[in-house]
Amino acid sequence: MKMLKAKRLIPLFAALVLLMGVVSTASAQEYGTFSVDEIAFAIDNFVMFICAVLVLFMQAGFALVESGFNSGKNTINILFKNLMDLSIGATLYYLIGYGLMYPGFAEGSAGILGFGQVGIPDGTLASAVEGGYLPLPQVDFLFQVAFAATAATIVSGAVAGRMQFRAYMIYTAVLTGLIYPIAGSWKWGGGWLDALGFYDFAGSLIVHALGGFAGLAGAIFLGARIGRFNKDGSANPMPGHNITSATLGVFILLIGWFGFNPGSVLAMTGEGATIAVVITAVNTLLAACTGAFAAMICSLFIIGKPDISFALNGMLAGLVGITANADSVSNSSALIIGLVAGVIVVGAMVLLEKLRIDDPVGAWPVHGACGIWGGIATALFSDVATLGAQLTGSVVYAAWGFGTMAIVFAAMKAAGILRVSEEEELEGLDLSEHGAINYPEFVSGD
Amino acid sequence: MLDITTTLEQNNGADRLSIPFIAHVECNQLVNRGPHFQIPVRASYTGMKKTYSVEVSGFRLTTEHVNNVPTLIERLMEGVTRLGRIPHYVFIARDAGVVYPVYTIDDEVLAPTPYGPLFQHIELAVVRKRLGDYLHDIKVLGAKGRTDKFHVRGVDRHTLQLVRPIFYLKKRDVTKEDDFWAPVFRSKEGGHIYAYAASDRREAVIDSGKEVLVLHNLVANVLKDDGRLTNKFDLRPDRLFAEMWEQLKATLIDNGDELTVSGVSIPIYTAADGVTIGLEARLDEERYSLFLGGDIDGVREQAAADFARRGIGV
Repeated sequence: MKMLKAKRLIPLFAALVLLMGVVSTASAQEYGTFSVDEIAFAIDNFVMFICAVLVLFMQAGFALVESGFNSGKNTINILFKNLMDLSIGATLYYLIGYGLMYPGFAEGSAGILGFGQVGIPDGTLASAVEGGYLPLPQVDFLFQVAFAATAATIVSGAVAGRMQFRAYMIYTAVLTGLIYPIAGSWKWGGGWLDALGFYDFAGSLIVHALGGFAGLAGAIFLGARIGRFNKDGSANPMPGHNITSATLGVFILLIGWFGFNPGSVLAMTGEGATIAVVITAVNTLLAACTGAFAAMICSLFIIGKPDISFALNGMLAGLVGITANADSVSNSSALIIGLVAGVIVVGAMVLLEKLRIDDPVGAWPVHGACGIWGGIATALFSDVATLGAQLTGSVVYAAWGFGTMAIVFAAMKAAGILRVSEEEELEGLDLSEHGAINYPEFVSGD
Repeated sequence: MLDITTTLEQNNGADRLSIPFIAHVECNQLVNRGPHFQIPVRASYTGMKKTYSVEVSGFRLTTEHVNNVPTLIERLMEGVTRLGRIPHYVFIARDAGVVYPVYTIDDEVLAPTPYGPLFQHIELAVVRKRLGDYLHDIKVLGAKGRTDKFHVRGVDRHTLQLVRPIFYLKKRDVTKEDDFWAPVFRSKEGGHIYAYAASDRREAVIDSGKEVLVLHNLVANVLKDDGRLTNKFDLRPDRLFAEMWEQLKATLIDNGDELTVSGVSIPIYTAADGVTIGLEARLDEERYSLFLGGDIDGVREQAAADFARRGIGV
């Protein structure tokens, strides 16, 4: 059987060898109608495209993590929210967000509602290359929209199990259409934080801390799930219904992060870019691993046994912590950044419990607290930014994410559309919000 | 899926009309019970219609055909087994008609709720209080203080039927994390009384009523070893059945002394080992609670503290 499969692969290998031969020939001389620059252009955009797809794939990871860490009665609701924050987010980011975030990115752009913003620039490919459009705006849009969706979907975990579906749609629209693009423009759009010397390579603060603090606002305004806290202030575990799903989700996020961070180099060809990509990739992995390890050790101290939910969040914490600086710190620094993130995430989870704030998946500990750590670690472990600039950026993004979304959540609460009723919450959001059951075979009539 | 083998045997005992069959159940996959169980199959009649019912840990299913009984038992066993364990206890709210299984893993007591929180603590009393609060909040038990109270029942290790506590060992009050509250049961064989404390089953051989104080002493000592009790008299036997109290009383010396604390009369007795015992008769429940002390003043202190907690005489 294995021999048969190997035989089938022979034509594929032959085609690859042929392609490599073509590329190597082209590097020495012009091949057909493709120049070396054109091939480099194609490779850069292709890598960006793959990275964008990887980051989009993170939506699947978030969906699995959040649904796995929550009750089975809310599974459809959580999956649905993850589907819709991408759908609504991508549409609004296309219509509004991208133009807000990258003002004047494409020549002749029309600002808000500038549909041409993400069109391939006029002119020949040569003019595009000469004009510095690397990557192409279409590819860049794919990459950036995935970041916007990530910022929105982080909140989903914090508000799981009790937020109305329509409220989720509203905040998603506001976050992806306005809040995130404006925040992104301050750095990645060449805004005031960029001028201040603030550095955030791939979005520890711009994406993760923003989403994490927005999620914290949601968790506070919603209040805890019924039964999460006792009258004496102690917390009850609300066990997730599928740790297999949550674990698979974290592995998908880990893989997706290799699009998130290395993709943020925005190029692959050229010695500098190639080295940056691989350093970034290795740093990403190292921080993820030490984050998981540190959180696992913390769980040993806290509950006496290695706890997988701690370790899973630890891995995500390490990833968030390294995102701001994956291109600019050494491998050994990445180990430390991940290690510290793994401790911070556990501390932040304990802190939330003490404060009686119910964040079902630990969105704020992972993305908020460790996003801040990533920003500060950039100043501590590299020379790309000062501590002052990083602290400023940390405060700004935390306050912006929390403050703006607090207004949105408060308004929805006042309008009575934020939280589902007690009956609906107990019944489960799958049934009450969508009229569907994810696990009908588990429902008994008595 | 549990691997369960069930065979039915005709019951030839005196109770064969109400329990026509005994189901012999084999299950090797439970970590805390088994592998052999003998579950009674009860028969009931409604007019000409005869139905069979089986109960496992307080959960009951019925059928009109005795051939279906093994399937019902498998469903019940599957339903109550969590983490390879049959419940040690169940909490029952009669009016609401709800039964919540309670499991023990190592030192901890766990009460899961369907799709909801998991109540988990070292003390059964704390789990009971928190679960009760939650069920009041979600209106399963109705308004607090006016409707259902949770009653604890043990699960017999051989028949998986519910057993009523014959008394409790308590160190109040339960709002404190280190308090203790354990129901005491009579073993099915009838030779022991037992309670679970400090991660293990603690037993005392039935000996004309003396077993109450023997078990009290045993549990008090393990709690002291655990650092959860400093004065063994802070742990008290509570809500003894009348029959249990009468047996114990026969082993005590009645000096004719009596205390009055907060308006409540407390007759005083002395045990053979010199422990002074004050009796609080809870006549409305036909239960009897004891205050223990090294002397009569010790009993007075215990009674005063408990009455103050309960708001008696305030």
